[in-house]
Amino acid sequence: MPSVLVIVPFPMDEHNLSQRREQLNAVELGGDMRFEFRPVRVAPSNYVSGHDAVLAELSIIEAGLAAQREGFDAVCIDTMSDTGVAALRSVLSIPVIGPGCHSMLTALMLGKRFSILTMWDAWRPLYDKTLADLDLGARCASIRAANIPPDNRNLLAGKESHVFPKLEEVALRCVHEDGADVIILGSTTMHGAHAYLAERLPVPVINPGPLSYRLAESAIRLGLSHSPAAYPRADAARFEFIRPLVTAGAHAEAERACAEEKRAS
Amino acid sequence: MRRILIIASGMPASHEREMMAAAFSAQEIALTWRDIAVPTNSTGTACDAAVEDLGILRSGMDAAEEGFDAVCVDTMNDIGTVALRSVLDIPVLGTIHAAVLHALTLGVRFSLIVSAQAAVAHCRGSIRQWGLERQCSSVRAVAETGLSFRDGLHEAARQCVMQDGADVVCLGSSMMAPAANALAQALGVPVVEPLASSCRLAETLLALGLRHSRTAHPKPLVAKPGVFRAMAEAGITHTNPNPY
Repeated sequence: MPSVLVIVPFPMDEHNLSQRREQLNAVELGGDMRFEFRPVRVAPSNYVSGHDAVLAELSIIEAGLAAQREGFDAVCIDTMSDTGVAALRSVLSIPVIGPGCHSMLTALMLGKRFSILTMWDAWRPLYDKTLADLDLGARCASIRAANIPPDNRNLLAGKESHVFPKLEEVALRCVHEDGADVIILGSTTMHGAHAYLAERLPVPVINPGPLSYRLAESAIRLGLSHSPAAYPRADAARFEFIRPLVTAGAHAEAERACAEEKRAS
Repeated sequence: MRRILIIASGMPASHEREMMAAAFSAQEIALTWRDIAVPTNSTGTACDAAVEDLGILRSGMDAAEEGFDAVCVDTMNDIGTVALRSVLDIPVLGTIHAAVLHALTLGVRFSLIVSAQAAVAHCRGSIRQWGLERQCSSVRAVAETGLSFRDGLHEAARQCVMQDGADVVCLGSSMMAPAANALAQALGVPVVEPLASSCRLAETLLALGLRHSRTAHPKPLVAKPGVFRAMAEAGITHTNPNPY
């Protein structure tokens, strides 16, 4: 049975991980595919600065470095920032799917222009980076935020009645004022709002996490993976030394969190 | 006296450093070189870049407390530079980015020359990120000429101007710096040497009281310097194996 490694960009317990895993229910998969969700061992508090990007990149690389050797047939990275995609593509020849670039390219199969609907403005640079990578800035009608600070562990649970209508209102402005043909949810953590929005909005709504799982399956079945010309290849074993770095980082983070807790109490 | 910290991947020869330091000391600028904290033996892939970014952040994150007035990051990597900007309130310049912007003040189209073939893809990615793809005539690698480093550099530069239409040539590594003057004379177009031009630009920014914008370079919600210190320390202990 083909198997896909899904890298979750924050360390989390089984309960929070199960909420991430719920994204699988939103898409019909081929049936004989196995998805393994693996959280990273250390992470920034959120993805809003250059400081955060350095830590996020290394922890995601560490989680996926051995994916091929472990027998996985594809890797999905469960963040719209596409953090670690280029790096993992340089050490793996199996498909590495990032929801960011894949959702933008898929949106252009459904319409001429897309908007990105996101939780808060602090995530804007993440989309700008992918838009620049793909040189698709002209196809992006807008990036609009509900400006509700996100919760990366508990996601939208318990906040539906407040958050969903607000997202709908912002999405409608993307469609009516900015001319979006397609709406892309700006974070895989927003998957809980997808059904609500898809039912109410007059345009297609892309749910980036489930899309990436389906595209991983397609990539495996088509036997298509990234070009080594665009992602020059290095031997994954050469980067095994990243593991003790991330271990050291995880220990230091546990100490930091512990000290912070003590201060708070 | 203003102090500029230069974070370099691969140290230039000591006599070259001394020559450059002497040129800046006349303007009361002191230059300090520091190697990237985590050794990488980089082959130019995105995975190498991720490790180098950690090293850059670790090498420069305490620069203001150490008394430096500006930081120049002399590598291809942009993310480490952006990371430093997120934690520092003093000017931080990525030498290649600054050099290509400088080149565009001298001509309409620039070319960039790097050493290794694998670095070409990475550089093209950075140029896309900077929004400068249309202004870029080409990115060429010395290695692709198949010649010795010195001859290959001249040949690659010649192709940038004659075949690709570059008005200005940017050198992508400090190893190429000693050849800059001879190249400019041979080609008849300006040749920008990123480190020297970035240090001069840092000097200018300091004189004008300018530094990076916080809207473009937000601070982290939670700064984790201890995590980066621990990771860099582990990186030094677990020496990166030789890639070849």
